[in-house]
Amino acid sequence: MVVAVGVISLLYVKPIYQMAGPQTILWVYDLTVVLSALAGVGLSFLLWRSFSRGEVLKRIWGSLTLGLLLWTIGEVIWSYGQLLVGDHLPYPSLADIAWLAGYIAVAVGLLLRYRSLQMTPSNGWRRAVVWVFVTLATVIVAIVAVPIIATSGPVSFLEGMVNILYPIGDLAVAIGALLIALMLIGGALSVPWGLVAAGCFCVAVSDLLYAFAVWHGAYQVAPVGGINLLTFVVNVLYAASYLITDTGLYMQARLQRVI
Amino acid sequence: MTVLPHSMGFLFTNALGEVVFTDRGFLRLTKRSLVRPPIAEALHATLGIEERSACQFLQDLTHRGSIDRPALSIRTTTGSLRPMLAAGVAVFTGRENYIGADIQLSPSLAEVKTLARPQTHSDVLDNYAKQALEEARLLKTRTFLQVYLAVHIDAIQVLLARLGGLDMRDALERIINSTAIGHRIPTIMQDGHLEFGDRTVPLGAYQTLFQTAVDYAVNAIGRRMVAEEMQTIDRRIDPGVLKAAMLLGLTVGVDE
Repeated sequence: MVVAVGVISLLYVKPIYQMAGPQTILWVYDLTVVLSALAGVGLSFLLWRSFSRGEVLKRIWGSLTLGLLLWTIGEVIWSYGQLLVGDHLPYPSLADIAWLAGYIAVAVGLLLRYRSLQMTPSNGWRRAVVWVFVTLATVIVAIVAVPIIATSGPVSFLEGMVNILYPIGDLAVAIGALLIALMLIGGALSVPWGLVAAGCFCVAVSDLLYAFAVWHGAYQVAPVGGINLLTFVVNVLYAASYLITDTGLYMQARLQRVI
Repeated sequence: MTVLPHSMGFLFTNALGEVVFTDRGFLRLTKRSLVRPPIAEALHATLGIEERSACQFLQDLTHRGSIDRPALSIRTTTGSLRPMLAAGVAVFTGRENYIGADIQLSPSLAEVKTLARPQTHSDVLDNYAKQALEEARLLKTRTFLQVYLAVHIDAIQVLLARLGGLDMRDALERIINSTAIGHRIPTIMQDGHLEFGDRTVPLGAYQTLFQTAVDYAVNAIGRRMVAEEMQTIDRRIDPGVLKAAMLLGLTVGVDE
């Protein structure tokens, strides 16, 4: 995972970026993201298959698999638009619908998992989660919601709504995964769930920065001279989120003796 | 040779080397209070040995799968040193995922010889069940069915603590206790130990408590893992006890 994230970071080092060309780098990056998302679906599917009918874990992993599949569909549509059509997708697009629907399925899976544990995090952890929530929510409001509401006209209302829904979905999923990981602390399952939570936080930060960058016109898809720092952080964090989540799912699958 | 019911002690750790469960035998061997088991303590603190020795013991265990220490001096709560034979087994899920150590302690070699020297997690559970049944037979404090239920719930709580942490084990205890109260079953689980108020608990109560524990564990970690743990005990437990348990439905709910 660390190596893969390192390789993705290296793609954006100026000499490598210029030697390979922006289109090649875009292809490598998009394929990496799509394949990582697909790997997550595969691992999640194997976990789903390992539980028997009627088990709550079957429903949990079914819901998570569906969510990851919808995210993968979103990635495929997005990459298709970027790589093959060559024109920017409309915003919001089918990819956004798939991504946002994916949040619902993943959130349902996490909620079921949380309830199946019948545990409550200790007061200390609860306070920590509340602080994380408040901090992230404040950042979302400050750098995404307020500027969007202040500047959005009737035409860009839908665009603005989608921009707000992403961080809300990210926050819900990240907090849910974090709560589960915290409750499992000390047990072998805490590591895979911790990685899933870390992946969710990476995507949350990446989406937040992406919304910020897009709104200010700072996001660059495939510029000739090399990408700016903000685009670099958004892209690397986004790819890392899938790779980290995949590692967590892989560990979970090994613990459950699925692979 | 008859094994004295209080002669052996069992201790279970998680992958971090923290104690997740000790049986009453261990508490007696180390002269600990029955109401304050050393849960969540580091292994070296519980055994009263040097941290380096405990780490070496666990390291050897994970490398070899199972080990014996012929003379491990364990400190009791009164401060005295008690030489014991320690047999440890590494527990894995799958081939490589180490989730904890089972440690069997005995004051003399003769006692270890009467019970099989454990090589696997299954051997330890078998010895644990045998000792609990022997204790019930000699002391007549619990019925065999009560022992059967307690041994299975002990195995479930160790598995939950190893996979889901001690909070998950605490949740199991809370759920069992609220079920017992709700069904007016004179049973309480305290600090990991199931206490029966009476030897004449209604037969249906065993099924209720067993199913409660199994249902929670299945929801938390999955049916297959729970079933395998239960079947590991059932494969080698006294056939008469198993038959009675099966008649009461104490195996229902975990079989595929």
